[in-house]
Amino acid sequence: MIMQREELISRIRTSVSNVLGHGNFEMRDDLTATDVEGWDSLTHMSIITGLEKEFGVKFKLKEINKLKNMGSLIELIGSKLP
Amino acid sequence: MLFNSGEFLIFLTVVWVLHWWIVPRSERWQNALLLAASLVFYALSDLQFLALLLASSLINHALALHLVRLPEGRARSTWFWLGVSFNLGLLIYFKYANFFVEAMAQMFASMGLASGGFVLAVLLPLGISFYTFQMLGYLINVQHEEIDPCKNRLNFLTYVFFFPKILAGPIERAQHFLPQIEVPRVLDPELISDGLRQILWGLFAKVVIADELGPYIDTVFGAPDAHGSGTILGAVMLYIVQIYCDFSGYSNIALGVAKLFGIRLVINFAYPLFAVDISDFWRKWHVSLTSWMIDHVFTPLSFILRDMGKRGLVIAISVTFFCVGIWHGANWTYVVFGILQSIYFIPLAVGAGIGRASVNSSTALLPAPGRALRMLGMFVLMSFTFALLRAGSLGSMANIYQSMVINFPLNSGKQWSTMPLARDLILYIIVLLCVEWIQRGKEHGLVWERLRVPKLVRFAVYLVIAQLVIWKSGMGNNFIYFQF
Repeated sequence: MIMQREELISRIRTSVSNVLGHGNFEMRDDLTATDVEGWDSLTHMSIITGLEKEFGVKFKLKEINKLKNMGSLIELIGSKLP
Repeated sequence: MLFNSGEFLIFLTVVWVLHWWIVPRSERWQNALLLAASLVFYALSDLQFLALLLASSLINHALALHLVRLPEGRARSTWFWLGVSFNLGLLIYFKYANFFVEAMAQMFASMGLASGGFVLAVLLPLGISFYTFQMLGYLINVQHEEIDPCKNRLNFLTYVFFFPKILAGPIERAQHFLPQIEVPRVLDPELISDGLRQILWGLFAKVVIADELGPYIDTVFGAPDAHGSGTILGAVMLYIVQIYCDFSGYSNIALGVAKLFGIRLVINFAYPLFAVDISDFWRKWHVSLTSWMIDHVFTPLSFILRDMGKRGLVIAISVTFFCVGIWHGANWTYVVFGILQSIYFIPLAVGAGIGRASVNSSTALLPAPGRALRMLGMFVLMSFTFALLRAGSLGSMANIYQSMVINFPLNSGKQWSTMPLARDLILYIIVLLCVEWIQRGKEHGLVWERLRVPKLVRFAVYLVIAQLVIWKSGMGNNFIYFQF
C-alpha cells in the first residue's frame, strides 16, 4: 500500500523529534538542518539511523550527502518505500 | 610575500588597477590576470615548489574530468582512489616524512641499533595542507556527483591558486568559488569598501596585537623556569589570543583582498573566543577546516558506524579530531591536541548538552552570568590546550605547566608576575574583544550596519587603526599558520 505523503511527513516529524527531544519546527519542504535547534553534525547521524529504523530502509552515504532540505529527505524516503 | 609587507601593498595595487581598469572586463581576461598574479605571488613566496603544485593541479583537473566519463563501478572507484592516494601521498611525503624518519632513527637508537645516519630533510611547500584539502574535497565532490567537474582549465587553476587564499586558506569549495569566476566581475564600490575595512581590521589584529604579543610569549615559553606563576599563566592564556589574532587577522585580510576583486571567500572565523562549549568553539574556529573534516571524515565514519550508536559516534569524533591534530603537522603535541579535543567532545556525544544555542544568536550587550561563566571556562580550557601548538614538544609543555606550579610565590619566593605586559597592548586586546563582542553577529569588526556612527567618527577610527598599523609594523612578521 502506498503511504500517503501526510503520513510520511508525520512519521518523519515524530522520528526527528524523538532524537532532538523537541518538536519546535515546522515541516516545510525548504526546512534545513540549520533552521532546527539541535540538528547539527552530532545529531545528524542519529536522526538518519532513527529514520532508517522507523521506515525499515537503508540509505547510501551518497544519498545522505545530496540531501538539501526536508523536501529532498521526504522524497528520498518515499522513493525507498514499496 | 607577506600580506603585512610593503611589497604586497605594491603588488596588490598593481593587480587591482590592472583587473578593473586595464584588462577587458570579461571573465576570461579577469581570470587570466588573477591566475598570472597568483602564480607570481606563489613564486615570490616559494618558487621551488610552484612547478610541483601546478603539475599536481593539472593532474587533478584531468582526473576529475576522467572520473565523470567512467560509469559507476570498479574502474571509476580505482581512479578515484588513485587520485586520493596521489594527493595524500604528496602531503604525507612533504609534511610527515621527516617525522617518520626521525621516529624510526630514535627507535633504532633506543634498541641499540645504528640508524645508519640516515636523515631526511624534506622542505615543506607553503600552503600544502590547505592546497591538498582543497584538491581532495574537489575530487570527493566530483566522485559523489555533488558537483560537475570544472571543464575550463583556466578557471580551475584560478580557483586553486587564487593568491589571497593559496598560502593559508580558507579551504575553498569549488561549488562556492567557481560560480563566482565563471561570470565577469562587476566593480562594486560597496563590496570594495567592505573589503578595505576587513583588511584594516585584519591588520589591526595581526600587526597591533599578534605580532606585539609574539616576543612576550616567546620569552616566557622559551624559559618558563625563570618566570613567576602569574606570568607563565598569562603567557598560556595570551597564546590563544595571539594565534587567534594572527590567523583570524590573516583570514580577514584574505577575505578583504578577495572582495577587492569581487570575490567572496568562505568565512573562516566566527568569534571563537566567545564560544560556550566545545561544539560551539569548533563551529567558530577555522570553520573551513572543521566543515571539511565534518563532510569528509566525520560524516562518512559516523555513517559507517551508525549501528554502533553512541560508541560509533565517539569513535568518529576521535578519528576526526586526531586528523585535525595531525593536520597541523607531524609532532606529538599535535596528536595530543587532537586527542584532548575529542575527549572534550565526549560528554556532548553521549547525550548531554545537545540542543545548544549559540552566543552569536543573542544580541544582548552583556552575556547572562551563566553564559559568561561558560565562555570563561571554555576560554581557559582552550588556552591550556592550544598552548600545545606553541610548546614545540610534550617535554616543553610539561616544563611550562610544572614551572607554573613550582614557581608559585609561596613555594619558590619568586614574584607572581615577573614580566608585565605593556599597558597599551592590554588596551588593544580589550578594544578588540569589546568590538568583536558587539559585532559578533557580523562578518568582521568594522561592519557599521545597524550602528549609528557618524561618518566623521568612522573616518577617525580608520585613521587611528591605520596609524597604529603603520606605527607597529616594520618587522613584517610571518603568519603562524604558514607552518601548518
